[in-house]
This record gives sequence, C-alpha cells and structure tokens, in this order.
Amino acid sequence: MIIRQLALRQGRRSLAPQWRSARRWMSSEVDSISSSMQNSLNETHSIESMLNSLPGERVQPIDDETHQTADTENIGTVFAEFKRQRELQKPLGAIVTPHYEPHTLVTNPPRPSDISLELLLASQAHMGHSTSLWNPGNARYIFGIRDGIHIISLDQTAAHLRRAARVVTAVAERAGLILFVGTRPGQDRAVVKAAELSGGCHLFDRWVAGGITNGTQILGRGKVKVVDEFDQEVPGFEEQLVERASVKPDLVVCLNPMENYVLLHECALNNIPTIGIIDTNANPLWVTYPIPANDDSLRCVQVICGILGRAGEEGKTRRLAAAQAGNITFTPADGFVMPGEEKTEQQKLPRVLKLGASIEELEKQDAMGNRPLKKDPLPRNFIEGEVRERVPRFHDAKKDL
Amino acid sequence: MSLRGICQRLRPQFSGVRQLSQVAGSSQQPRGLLQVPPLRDEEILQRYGIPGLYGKETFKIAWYDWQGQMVRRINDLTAEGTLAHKDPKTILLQTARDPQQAALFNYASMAWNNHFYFDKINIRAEEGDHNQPIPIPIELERELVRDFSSIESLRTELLATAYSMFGPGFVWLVRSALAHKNSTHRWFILTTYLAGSPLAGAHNRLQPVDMNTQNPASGLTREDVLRQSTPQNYVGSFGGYGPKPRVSYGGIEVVPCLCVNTWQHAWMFDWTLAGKMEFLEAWWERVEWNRVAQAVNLRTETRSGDLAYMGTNGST
Repeated sequence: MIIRQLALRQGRRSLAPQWRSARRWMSSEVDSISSSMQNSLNETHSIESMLNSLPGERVQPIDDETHQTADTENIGTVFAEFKRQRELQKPLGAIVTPHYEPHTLVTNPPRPSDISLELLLASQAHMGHSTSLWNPGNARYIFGIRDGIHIISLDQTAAHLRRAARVVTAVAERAGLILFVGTRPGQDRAVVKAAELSGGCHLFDRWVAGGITNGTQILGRGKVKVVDEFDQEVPGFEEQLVERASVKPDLVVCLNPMENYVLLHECALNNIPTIGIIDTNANPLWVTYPIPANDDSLRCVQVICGILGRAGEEGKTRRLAAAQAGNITFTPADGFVMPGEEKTEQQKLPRVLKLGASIEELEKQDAMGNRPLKKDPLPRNFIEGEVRERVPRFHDAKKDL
Repeated sequence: MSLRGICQRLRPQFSGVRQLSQVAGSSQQPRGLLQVPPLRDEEILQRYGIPGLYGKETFKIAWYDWQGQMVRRINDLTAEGTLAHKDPKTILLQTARDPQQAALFNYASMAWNNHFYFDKINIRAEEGDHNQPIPIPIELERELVRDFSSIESLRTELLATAYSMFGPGFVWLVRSALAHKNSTHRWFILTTYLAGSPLAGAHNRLQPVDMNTQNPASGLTREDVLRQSTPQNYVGSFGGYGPKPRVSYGGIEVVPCLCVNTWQHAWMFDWTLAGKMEFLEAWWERVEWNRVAQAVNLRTETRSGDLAYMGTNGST
C-alpha cells in the first residue's frame, strides 16, 4: 500500500513505537469481515495523520466509503488520454506485417469464412500418422504418402470442416446444448473459449463414464436451470427440476476421439450427434461428422475448435436476434408448467396403457387432447403439372380387425 | 480458382490485416516483418515531392530510401528474436536502457522520429498558391501564446535552435504535464541529437545536447554535470526489490507534438548546405497545425470558424 511504503521511506525507527501501540489494540482473534475492515481503516487513518504531522509531502486522505483518494477520479480521464495518445504514436515508424501469433487462435479465433487450404496447411492439418498405423476406413481422406506418413487431403478437410460448422451453427440457432471436449494438454483454453462463444459447455478433464447413460448419478450434483429465450435464468422451477438431475448435450464436439471413445459411445447410445477430429489412425465411424485432420498438432486443433466456436457464436447470435424480434427458433422444453400455474389435463394423465384399457381408448385420448396430425403433402410427380394421389395397396386393414 | 482469389485467401482476416500500400517507382519494400508505412497522398508525393519544401528526388531520399534503410536495419537486428514483431516505438522503449542494443535503438528511434516529422507536414498541393499555410487552431494558439508570448517568438526560437544545432538531429515542440501560469500544461522546445527520443520511457537516450560542449571548461556548472551523470530521484522504486520505473531517472512525461528534421540529407540537396535557414523557414510554412493540436487532444477549429482540413487519414 502506498501509505505503508511512504512510511518505510521515513525510516522504520520513527515508526516503531507507533506500530507497536497500533498492534496492541488490534484484536488477535478472527473478526468478522466488517470489523476487520474497520480496523484497517482506523490503522490507515492513524498512519495518515502521523505522516501529515511529519515535514514533507502531505498524503491524501482515503474516503471511508469508497476507499478512494482525491486523485482517483482523475485516473480514468488520464488513462483515456494515455490510450488516445498511444493510438496516435504506436503506428509511427513502420508497419508490422501480418504474422502468426499463437495466442490469437484462442483470443480471436478464425471464423468459418476464414477456412482456406493455406490456413489448414500452415496449421499442419495435413499431417497424418505413420502408414503402418492407419485405419483403412480413412482411405478416402488421404492424399498420399510422404516421409513414411499419410498426408490428409486438405480439400476434404475443408469440406468436412465447413459441414461441421454448419451443423454447429444450426444446433446453436435452435438452442441446442453443445459440449466441447478436448482432454489433451493444451486444449483447455481453446475448448473453454469455444464453449463461451457458443453458449455451451466445455470439458478438458477426463470424461467420467456414465455421464450420459447414468447421468442422474454421475452428474446429479450439478445445477440444472430453466432459461428463457434470452438465455436468462427463470426462477421458480426448483421443484420441477428435482426429477431432472442432469441434462444431455444435443451435440458433442470432440477434439481427440482416440481418448474419448467412451463418451462417443454413450452419445451414440443416446442418439446424440458428434463431431470429431479424425486422424489417419482414428476410426471415422465413431463420430457422426468426422473432420479428417491432424489431432496431434495443437495449432490445428485450436484452429478447428476456434472455427466451430465461432460457428456456434453465429447460431447463438441469430437465435437471440430472432428472440428479440419475437420469434422462437426452438422447441420449448417439454413437461414444464410455469411456476404458479396448474398442470393441464393432458399433463396430468400419463400416456400409459392402464389395466383393462385398449388401443382404441388410447386413440380416443389422442383425438381428445392432442394436436391434429399434420398430413404429409401429396407426392408430386416429376411429370409437369401432374399430381397423383397415392393409393394405399392394403387399405383400411385395421378396420377389418 | 483465380490467382487473385488465392492471394486474398493468403491473408487470414481474423488477424486483423491492414492493406499494405504499394511503394511504386522507388526502392523495394524491405523484406521482413516491418515495412515502410504509407503517407497520405502517396501519388502526389512520388510525382512532385512536397511543394515548396522537397523536390521529387530529395523526398525520395529523405523518406523512401532513408525510412526503408532504417526499417531494413531493424528487421536485420530483430530477426528471430523477442522484438521481431514489435513496432518501432516498442523497440526503442525496450532497448533504450541497454547499451548492447544501442544500434537497434538508433534505428527504431530514427524510424519513429522521421515518420513523426513527415506526419506533421502539410503534404497537399492545392491549386494556385500551394504555399498557403494552414492556420493554427484557436485553442492551440492560445496555449502557445501563453507559454511563448507570441507565435512569432515561438517561431524565432524554434528556428534559431534548429539552425544552431551542429550536426544531425531533431527539434521538438512538446507539451508536458507541469503546471505553469494557471495552466496544467507547459510547452517546451526540446532538442535531440542524432536519433535521440523525446519519449519519457527513453529519457536516458534523450540526447538533448552535444556532449562535446558539455564540460566545465565550456561553462557548465557542477550541478549541471552532476545532473547529467547521476540519478536524480528514485520515484517509483523502493529498495532493491521495488518495481522498475517506467520513466527513466530524471525524465518527465512529455507529449511530442511537432518536430523538424535537421539531418543534412533531408535538406541539403534542394537548399544547399548554406541554405539551412531558408529550409527551416519554408518548413514552418508547411506545418500542419491541426495534427499538432490532435496530438494533445485540442480542438481543430480555427479563427475562420471552419474545422481545419485534416487531410486523408493515411498513417494513423
């Protein structure tokens, strides 16, 4: 603290008696926070008055409420002017040509519109593994062999990456929960940034088996919340959330599928689509949307993760803009009632077959409360202007029963 | 895919790329991480120089060749080091206190000073009387008159200082945060020999005097000698483990607003070695005062009531 350092300048000896007397009446027990703050303020004021009694520069008093000095308000103005002058002075002398700065891949990631073969090549996305370790399922992604390793075809990488970005954007636009997973060392920053941009979740430690298939147990301690169309939490649903101890992601982006096969298997069991970086030794069938690229290069992983994060950000932006305009782009969660409202008849009756009931009664139930089924549009024949009505081959089979 | 498409994709937009200017008709841009910055109205400069001040060939030497050489030397000295991607101001502040890197400081400071000098010159050539000087904004004029008693005396003092400097250097008009005459600021004239820098962070490389004249025999008092050789205060550091001060010992924070380049290659070809004073007077007529006011955040309104013409924004 400034005042203490000024005190040091004056010399320790002149302060020693005051220090001891100040310490005598300070409590040695653990005080509450407010009383300890009050103690430090008293100490500050006593040092101020002692220093002001000495010849030389006077110290500025500290305000008890705001803990500021008289100069504090000026600091903002001075800093703003300093920044303005720096903007004028810094570019003088020479232009710094564009160059690779590793931190910008995480702090300012590239966008799907920045996908280019040059970017992927510079990020070493084309380098596969040794030819003896390949998975033959990746043959379509491989350009050739050089120096004993497989070279991934970058036009395939670009195409698959663009497709994955479209998937991420679409899921984010429909308020889907995206989970970004990257468990290798160094991938944490990129994964967190991507999750932050798209409004999803991140994972950079080991995936605990059963997080999706046994979610109530593994992730049951976590907090679940209900949010509105503006991503703001809506209070009052605590009782209704008791039964839903965990949620499942709607899309999983995995940066190292080789180590996260358990997670990908759980996703497959639960019909959760997955995106993954597939190297030449990885199994492309483990993920729904493979991105053939080099998963061992941190630069390549950060580029891909950054692009997918930006894609999610774009979808989220569109969704929030639509919500501002009054359009809801997603299906609201099922089975909730607004706090304070009663459950409707439809929600009260469970749709299970009761003892003695039959299929006809269920059909009557459907006819009572449910929305009418949307009929498929008539198939239009390719012959111009002709519309043929589809005639069922076995008509009204059920009625005969 | 077209060649142009490939070239456009070679520049990743996410890194915030600025369009680099083509330095046509002159020596090529130095290869490396730093390049010569563009000035405003490059075409006019390359065709005519600065009317009334520099001819076409002299301008090429004073700007394109000289700045290119400074930038080339910076690239050579910073290649594959920690300062490889830094702008000249950052380089000069970091190397100011290191005698091992004195050469790199010189080139970085020279590049910064030279660009600062040309940035504050009115480059535009209007129809008819192209030597019409730009009027000084009112607020700036008020502050200068307060500290120099009149614009004429400021002009006389600045040009006389520049004329009497023997050897290459720069003469600066700076504003400090020292209180003076009911104002929180004070304007000074500062000289820097060779490639000295007026920035506070490089105060030990201010090089304000010709050291050949700084000895007791030339009239220097003992206090002056001590002031030049010993630290004056320890503001900002307390003891051996204190934080390193950002301002060099004895330095004060000044904002450089205007400078004149007295390096001989800049004027001797057009004005001859005997015509230094004529060059300085012609330079005074070509000062762009609204950019001087912009440096210290003063309004650019002149007496006529219109906002003074700022010129196209080419370099800031």
